[in-house]
Amino acid sequence: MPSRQVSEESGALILQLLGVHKQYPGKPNPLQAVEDITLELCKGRIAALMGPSGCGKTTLLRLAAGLEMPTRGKVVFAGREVDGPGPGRGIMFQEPRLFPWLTVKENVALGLPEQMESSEVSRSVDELLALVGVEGFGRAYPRELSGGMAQRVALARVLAVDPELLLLDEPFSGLDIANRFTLQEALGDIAAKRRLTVLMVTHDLDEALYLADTVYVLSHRPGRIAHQLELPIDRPRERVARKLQHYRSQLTEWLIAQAHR
Amino acid sequence: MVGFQQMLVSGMYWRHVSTSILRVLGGFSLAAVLAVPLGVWMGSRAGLRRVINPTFEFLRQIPPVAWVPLFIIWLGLGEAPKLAVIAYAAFFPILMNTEVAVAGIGQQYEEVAASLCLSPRRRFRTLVLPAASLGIVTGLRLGLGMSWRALVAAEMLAAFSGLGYMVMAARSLVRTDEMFIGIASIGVLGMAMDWWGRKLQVRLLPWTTRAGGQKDAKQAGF
Repeated sequence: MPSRQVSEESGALILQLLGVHKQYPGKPNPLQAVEDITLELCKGRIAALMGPSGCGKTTLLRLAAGLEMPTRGKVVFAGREVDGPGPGRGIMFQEPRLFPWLTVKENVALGLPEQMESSEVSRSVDELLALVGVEGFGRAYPRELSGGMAQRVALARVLAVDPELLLLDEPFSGLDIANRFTLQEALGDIAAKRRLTVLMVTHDLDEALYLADTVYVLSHRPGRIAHQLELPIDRPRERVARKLQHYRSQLTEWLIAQAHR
Repeated sequence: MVGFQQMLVSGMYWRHVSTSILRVLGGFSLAAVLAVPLGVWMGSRAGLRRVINPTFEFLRQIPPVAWVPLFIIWLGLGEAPKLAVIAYAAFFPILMNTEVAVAGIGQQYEEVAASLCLSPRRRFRTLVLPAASLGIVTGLRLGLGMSWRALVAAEMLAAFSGLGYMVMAARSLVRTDEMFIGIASIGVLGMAMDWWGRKLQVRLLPWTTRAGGQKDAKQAGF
């Protein structure tokens, strides 16, 4: 399927979930994780997935990454149906998942091409570590890092892949507020600079309001898209901007409604 | 003790010691070269494991010494049957530990490797080998211990040199002192080899110890 142009401003379609269902086999009853999800993401856009725990947000990311296959419907990345993990898509998991036997530098270098020269690797890794604010820890092993630090390194690793589509699963949930803000700003910067397309799972309302162009609110299991909110506001945004207030109340209302189901 | 002093002076004792050490290293290396690759291969294929494992489970139960008479008939009276017994003894702990370690590599890391699109070679070097290395080293250490035991048994049955032979020969002359020295030497050498194995582990697998990277952490005021 050729990628179709939508319009000049919104750019090419990067990710499409088309009528996606995902069912996990279970002993007494199979588990229907997500149901009939259709969602489209154009180049350079940031979308946030919100909703109650266990509503299949992570499943959607894993489907987009190609780590799971839908039971029905299809996932299309850059015009081609996804049949497994592939280049151009990077996923950052909820846990850092750094390789404990590699140093921080070596972990980040895993995202870089194999053929890259070692001086080039070293330079790129340093750049990425600076970008996420983990300098001077290059030779440390992951278990010597705090949770937040490890999460930053994981972000550096996925950015090293230079993905077109970035899939983030609650990337900053383990961080204190100052660190979270810094990293959200860094992510917004990088996304704008590289025209990254981002699909992120978050429980953090402020994060969604600060970063996302579109917020999807999923219903309780099986996850369906219950609400969709467009935020036509330029980034970088003011965190306390008055115009966000309206969206915040709307989202809050929807999230509460879904939580009480 | 006169007899032992004579052995020391004449170099007999050292010949027994070096013969035994060389046999262990030879048989153990043979086992390692066979068992590690096979273990990695079997560890990454569940189907293969199901087919091959029953055979190995059967062979594993047989004490290596039980093979000595057959090995002698098959391989003659030279070094070959001794090496075979030692290799046989060391083979199973190395194989099983390697296999379990490779099979047990966390799904979460496999997913990282998949999503980063690591080439098979890179995946092997940065994930499979290091993830399994602690298990492999454990297998190697156990294997070394097993080969040492098997060696002594083999030398008692079918050899004219080595520490096992020394103990047996002392028995026929009722030289209790030589027997004790032979036994103590076996224990000390076994310990020394394992100590050396542990050292190697610290060198090769720095992330399993506390040492690696601390300097960096300190510099950053950790």
